[in-house]
Amino acid sequence: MRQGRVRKILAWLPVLALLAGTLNHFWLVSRHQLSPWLGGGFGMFSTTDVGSARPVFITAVTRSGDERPVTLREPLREVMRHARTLPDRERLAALAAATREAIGEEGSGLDPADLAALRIEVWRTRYDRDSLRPHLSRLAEKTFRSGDQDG
Amino acid sequence: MDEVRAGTVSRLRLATLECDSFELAAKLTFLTPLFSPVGDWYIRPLILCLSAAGLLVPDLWRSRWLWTLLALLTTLRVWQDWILADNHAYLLAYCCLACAISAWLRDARVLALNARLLIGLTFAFAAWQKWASPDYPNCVFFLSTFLLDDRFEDFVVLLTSLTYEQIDLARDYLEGDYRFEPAAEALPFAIPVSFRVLSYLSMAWNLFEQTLVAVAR
Repeated sequence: MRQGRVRKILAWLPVLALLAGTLNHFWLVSRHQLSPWLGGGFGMFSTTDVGSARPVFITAVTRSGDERPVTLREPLREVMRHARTLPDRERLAALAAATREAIGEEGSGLDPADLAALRIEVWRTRYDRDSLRPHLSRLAEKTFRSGDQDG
Repeated sequence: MDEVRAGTVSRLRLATLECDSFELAAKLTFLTPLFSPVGDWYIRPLILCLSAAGLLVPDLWRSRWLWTLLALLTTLRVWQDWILADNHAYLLAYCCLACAISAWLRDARVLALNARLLIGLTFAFAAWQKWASPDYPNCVFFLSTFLLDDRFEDFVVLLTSLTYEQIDLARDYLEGDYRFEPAAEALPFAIPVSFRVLSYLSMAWNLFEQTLVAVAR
């Protein structure tokens, strides 16, 4: 009797896994701004809200209050792709930490001792129906001050 | 030459007919990572070796341990790539899991049930997200994607009156930084009718075929 029930549950496990994965996808899309393309919800090619249409802007704020845009090099692009796909606190903090590390390297043009904060913004692009005129709107913004635990 | 080709085709057809449905599904699943290798530097060789062994060693496709290992490795790959793993990664993991469970339970009907439901649900979710999308049924998705995604560039130039230069101009316009100043009213050229027709047909066809597969399952 019990063995029969276990068999039945096992037989449905792949379908249950797919349903769980898809529900998680919808939850993250609606609550945490996940790009509908990713996360296992089968939303690829269904919307213009894809990672490449989510520009990320990183600004370094110096102790004197000056602001300078930061351009990420290739090894950090992967961290940025994560942050723009799911711009939650955890991924934005990871991007801030990686950026801080990159600023500490030679040739960044910024003095890490002079860095007061990093501001990270993720935007998304929408297009008008007839003219395709693009509009940017801010999805997420977070400032990580030097000395913060998570950034 | 034609005789050789006809012989090969009939041998393939015979081999396919001789396979039972689980064997056929198993062998096609083994082929997937062989044609399109997946995973990190240490997962990839393992998946490749297991898949090749499943194809080459007689009766290994029935092995519950082989399928369990493949299910674990493909799931590990999804977990590693999360959140950037694409749909194929999830589907391969679900498919290997269904094969593993079917092999453990020694019941091909379990695989048949899962195959039908996995395909049906995948297409249902894909179709539903397209129907519900704010920019899919109104064609904005295809109009912008055909201009921005360079994989479609040749296709668009071949089938519409757009030129490569116009596509470059459109990219500059569509990808500009408009945080502080709004974009100009429209593209620097009029969108040709042929391009609108191509986008409309692409949208209609995709909605139709994905909905059809979902309903048919």
